[in-house]
Amino acid sequence: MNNFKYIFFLFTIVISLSSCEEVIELNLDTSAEKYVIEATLTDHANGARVLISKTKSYNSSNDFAGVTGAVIEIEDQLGTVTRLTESSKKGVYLHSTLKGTPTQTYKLKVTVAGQTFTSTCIMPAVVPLEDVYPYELKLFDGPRLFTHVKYMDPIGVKNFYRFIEYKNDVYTKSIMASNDEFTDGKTVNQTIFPYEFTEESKLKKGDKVKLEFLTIAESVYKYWFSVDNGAQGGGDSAAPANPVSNIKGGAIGYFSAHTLQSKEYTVQ
Amino acid sequence: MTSNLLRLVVLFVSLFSLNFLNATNALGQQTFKISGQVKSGESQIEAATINIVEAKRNVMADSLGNYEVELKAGSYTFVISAVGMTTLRKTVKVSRNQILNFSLEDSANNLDEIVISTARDDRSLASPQMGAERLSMKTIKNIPLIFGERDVMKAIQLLPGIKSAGEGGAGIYVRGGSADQNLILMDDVPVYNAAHLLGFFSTFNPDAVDDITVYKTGMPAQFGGRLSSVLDIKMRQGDAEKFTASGGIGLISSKLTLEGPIKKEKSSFLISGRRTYVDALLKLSPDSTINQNIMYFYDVNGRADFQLGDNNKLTFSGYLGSDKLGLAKTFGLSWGNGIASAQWKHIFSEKLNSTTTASYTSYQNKIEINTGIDNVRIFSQLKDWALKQNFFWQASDKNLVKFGFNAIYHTVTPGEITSEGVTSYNPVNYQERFSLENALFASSDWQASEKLNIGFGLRLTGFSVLGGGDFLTVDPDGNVTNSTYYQKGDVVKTYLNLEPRLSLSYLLNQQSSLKASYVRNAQNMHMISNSTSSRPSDKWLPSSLMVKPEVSDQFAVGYYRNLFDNAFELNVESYYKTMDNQIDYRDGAETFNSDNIETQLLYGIGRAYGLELLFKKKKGNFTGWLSYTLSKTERKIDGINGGNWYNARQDRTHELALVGSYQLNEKWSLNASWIYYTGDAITFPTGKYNLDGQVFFYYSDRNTYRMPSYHRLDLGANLQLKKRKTFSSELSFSLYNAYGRKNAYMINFREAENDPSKTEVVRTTLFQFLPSISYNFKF
Repeated sequence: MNNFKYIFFLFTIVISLSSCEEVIELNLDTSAEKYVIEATLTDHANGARVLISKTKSYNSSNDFAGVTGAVIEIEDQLGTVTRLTESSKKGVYLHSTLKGTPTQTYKLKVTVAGQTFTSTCIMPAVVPLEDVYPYELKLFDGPRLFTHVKYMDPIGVKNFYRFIEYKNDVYTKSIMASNDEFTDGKTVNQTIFPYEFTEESKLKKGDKVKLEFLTIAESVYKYWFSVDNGAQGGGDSAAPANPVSNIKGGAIGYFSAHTLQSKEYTVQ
Repeated sequence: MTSNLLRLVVLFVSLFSLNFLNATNALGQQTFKISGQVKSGESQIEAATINIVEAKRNVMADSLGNYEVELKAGSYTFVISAVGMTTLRKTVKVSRNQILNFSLEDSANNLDEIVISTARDDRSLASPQMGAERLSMKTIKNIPLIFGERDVMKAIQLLPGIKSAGEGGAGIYVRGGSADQNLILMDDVPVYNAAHLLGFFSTFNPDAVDDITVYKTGMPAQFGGRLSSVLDIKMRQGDAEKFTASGGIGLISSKLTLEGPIKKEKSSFLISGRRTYVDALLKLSPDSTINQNIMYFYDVNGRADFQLGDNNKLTFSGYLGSDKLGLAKTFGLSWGNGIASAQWKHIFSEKLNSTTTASYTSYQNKIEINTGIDNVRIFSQLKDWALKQNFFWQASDKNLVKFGFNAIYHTVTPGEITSEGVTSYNPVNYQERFSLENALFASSDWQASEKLNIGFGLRLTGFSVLGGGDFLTVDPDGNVTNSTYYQKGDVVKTYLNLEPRLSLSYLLNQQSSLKASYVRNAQNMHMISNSTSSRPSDKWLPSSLMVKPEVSDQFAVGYYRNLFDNAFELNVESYYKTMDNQIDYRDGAETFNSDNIETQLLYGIGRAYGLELLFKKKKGNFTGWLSYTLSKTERKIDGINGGNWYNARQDRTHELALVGSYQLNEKWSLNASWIYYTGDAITFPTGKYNLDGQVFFYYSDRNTYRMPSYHRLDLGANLQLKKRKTFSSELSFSLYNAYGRKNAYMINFREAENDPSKTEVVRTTLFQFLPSISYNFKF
C-alpha cells in the first residue's frame, strides 16, 4: 500500500531532526558474481529488450559492463520462438518488431556461458490511462506538486500497476508499483512520490513531465514491491534482502511482459 | 508427552503433600504468635522474607505484606528482606502474642528524602527467586536522565542480561528474547505498546511509578504469556495523609501530579499527567505549513485506593496515553494505550487472602490521509478483557502457597479502511480475531531446611482460537492449502501448555548462596515487525492454525555473595534458553493484508545462553554497580540462511554497564553511567548491480556482519534547591553521550554525493552531546 510511504517520510523527518551523517569505510566480503537480467516485453514494437550484466563488489565503480554472447529467446503461447539480437551496446539485446498481446503468456530463455535462466510471464490486459496531472499536497517541507495518475481499475480482477516518471526526459528513479487490493473497481488518483524529498526533486514551472503507465503481472509487482521494501541500501529495515525474482536459475532481476501507455504535461 | 505431563503432576502433588506434613509437625509446640505487616511507604511488599536468625527460620510475607510466625519465648534477630529492597534488622523479644509491623521505607517522589547513602539494595540470599531485579524510583534517581526523564525502561537496560533495542529506545531484549516477549504489566494489567515517539520515551510516567521488578528467569507461576521476561511495574498509591502537588518542567516535556486523601487514612487518589511539546518548537515557525505539523504525546495516570475496614481494599486505576504525529493536514498518525482496572484485595483469615483484578486494555492505531482527492482512515486495534484471581495462603510458617487463575478475552482488529467523499479506496474490514486465554496456576515457596529453600510452581495455559472468520492452512512455500470458515464462538483450536517452574536456593553461609532454576513459558500473542525501531506498524497476531504458541525453556544457575558487611554484593548467573515456534517474515513479505498474513511468515527455533555478572557497591557516599553480560543469541529458520543457525539481530557478545553516583554534600549529588556493547548482528550487501538505470545492492546471508561497537557516557547532577516544610524543589542536569561518540543508528549504502560513479557507506548518528535540564517541585 503506497500510502505507507507517508509513514516512512514521517520517521525520516523525526530522525533527521537530531541526526548527523558521515561517510565511513567498511570492509565487506564480495560474493560470487551473479547474472543480472532485466527483460521486458511490451504491447508495442521496439518494446522487447533484455539487459544482461553481473553483480560486482560494493566498493568498485558504478560502471556495469554488459554481458555479451548470450542467446535470448522469447516464446509466445503458440510456440513461436523469437530470438533477440545483440545491439551495438554491450549486454543489450533487442528486437525491432516483436510485440506482445495482452492476456497472452510469454516465456523467456536466456543462455549465457553455459548457464540457462528461464521465466514465464502473462501480459495483463490494458487498463485505459485517463489522465496525468499535477496536484499540490502539503507535507512537512511545504506545498509541493506531485504528479497524479488517474485510471479506472477494472472491477473483480486483480490488477497490478507500475508508474515511471520522467522529468525533462530524465527518469526520476522513484519506484512506484501498486495493486488494487483497496481500490478494486474504483477510479484511482495515484500520487507519484519522488525518490527523495529534496528541493531539487520539486516540480517547478516549465518542467516537462512524462509518465508511463504499465499494467504488470503479479510476479513483477512482487519484484518491485520487494525492491521498495529492502533492496535499496538498508535503513532500519530489520533484514534487508534481495527482491523476489520471477526468473528461475539463480539470476537477479525480472522478466516483465507489460502494457504501456504514457502521457505528458508541462508544469504551468 | 502425556506421560511426562503426568510425571510432573505427580511430582507437584507430592511436593505439596510434603509441605502439609511439615506444617502439621510445626504445630503442637508451645509457642507465641508474632504477626504483622511488611510495608514500603504506602504500599505493601509482596513476598518479603523474614529470616529469624536464632530460630534458623525463614518466613514469607504474602501479597499484602502480612506474615505470621510462631516462636518460643526468647530474644530473636529478625532480618526482613525483599528482592531489591532495603534489608532491615530488628531485635525482637518474644514473651507473648504480639503484632509487629516492619517498614522498608522507600519513597522516590518524596523530594525531602534524597538520602542516597541509606539506600541498600539487598538481595535475599535465602529466597529461591533468581534472575530478578527490583529498581525503585529512588535508585533510578541516581542514574543520569535521558531526554530529561527518569525512564524505568531505560534504567533497567543498565542491568545485566537486558539489552536496549537501539539508540534511545525503550524496547528491550531480555536474555536473547525479542521485544514482544516481555510481559509488561502496569499494576497487573498488560501493556502492549510501551513506547512513545519511536521508543525514545516509554509509556511510564516516572512520577506515577513506584517501582519495577524484572524477572529474567524463575518467573513466579502467577505470571505467564510471554517468553522472555516479566516487567512488573507498580504504580504509586496516593498519599492518604495530606494533599500534595508535585511536578516537573523539562525541555521537551512537563508533568504534574496531584494526590491526597479522599478520606484521611482510609482512601486516597493520585492523578498524574505528562505531555511533550516538541511541536511547540514547530509552532514558532512563521511558515504556515511547518507550523501545522504535529508531533507530541501525552499520558494520564489515575489511581484511587479505598481501605474498607481491616480486611478489604479496593483500587481503581486507569491509564490513557497517545502519540500524535502529523504532516500538515495531509497525513496523520496516532496510536496509544488505554487501560482500566479494578482490584480487590480481601483477607479471609490470617492465613488466606486474595487479590482479584478485573481489567480492560486496548492498544490502537489510526492513520488518516486527507489529500483532497483521497480521504482515508485506517484503523487497527487490540483489546483485552481480563480477570485475574490470585490466592495467597500461608500453609505454614515455612510454606507460602499461591494459586489462582486468569482469563483473558482478546479481540484483534487488524485493519479497517474507511473513506469519505470522492476516493480511490474501497472500504476494507480485515477479519477480526477472537481468542480466549486461560491459565491455572499454583506455586509454593517452601523452606525445606535451614539452608535449602525450594520454590516450585505449575502453570497450565489453554489458548482457544475462536471462530468468526476464515482460518488458513499454508504449506511451507506459503501457498494456501485450505481455508475453513468458523462461526463466531466456535473453537477453532485449543493449545494447551503445561509450564513447570522450579527454583532452589542453598545457603552456603550467612554471606553466600547458590541457586538454580528451570522455567517454561508459553506465548500466544505474537508481534511481528520488520523494523528495528518500535513502530505503530508493528502487528500483533494471536496464535492460529498456523501460528503455534511460542515456547521457551530456560535453565539457570547462580552464585550470590554479600561482601564486607553487605557493603558490596556480587551476583553471577548463567543461563541456557531454547525457544520454539519463533516467527519471521518471508523475504519481500507484504504484511498489511491480515487475512492471509500466514502466507507471509516463516517459523523456526531459537537459542540463547550467557553469563551475567553484577557487582554492586551499596554503602557510602559513592554507590553504584558494574554489570557485564557475555552471551550468544541465535535463530534457525527454514528459508533463512539455508536453514542454518544464524545470529539474531540482538546477539551482542559483550555488554558492559558502569553506574555510579556520588553524594557530594547535602545539596549536590552527581551521577554517571557508561555503557559498552558489541554491535548488533546485521546484514550488509556483498555486492551491487545495475538495474532500472540505478544501483541496487546484493545480499547474501542474513546478519553475518556487525554494527560498530557502541559506547556512551552519560553524566548527571541533581541540585536540591530551597527546602522548606511546605515546598521543596530540585534541578536535574544531564548530558547524554558526554564525549560525543558517533554511534551508528543506521548504516546506509548510496551513490557518493560528489562522485556518482562510486558507492559510499553512510553512518547516521543520533544524539551527540544531548544536554537536558529539568526542574522538579513538590508542595
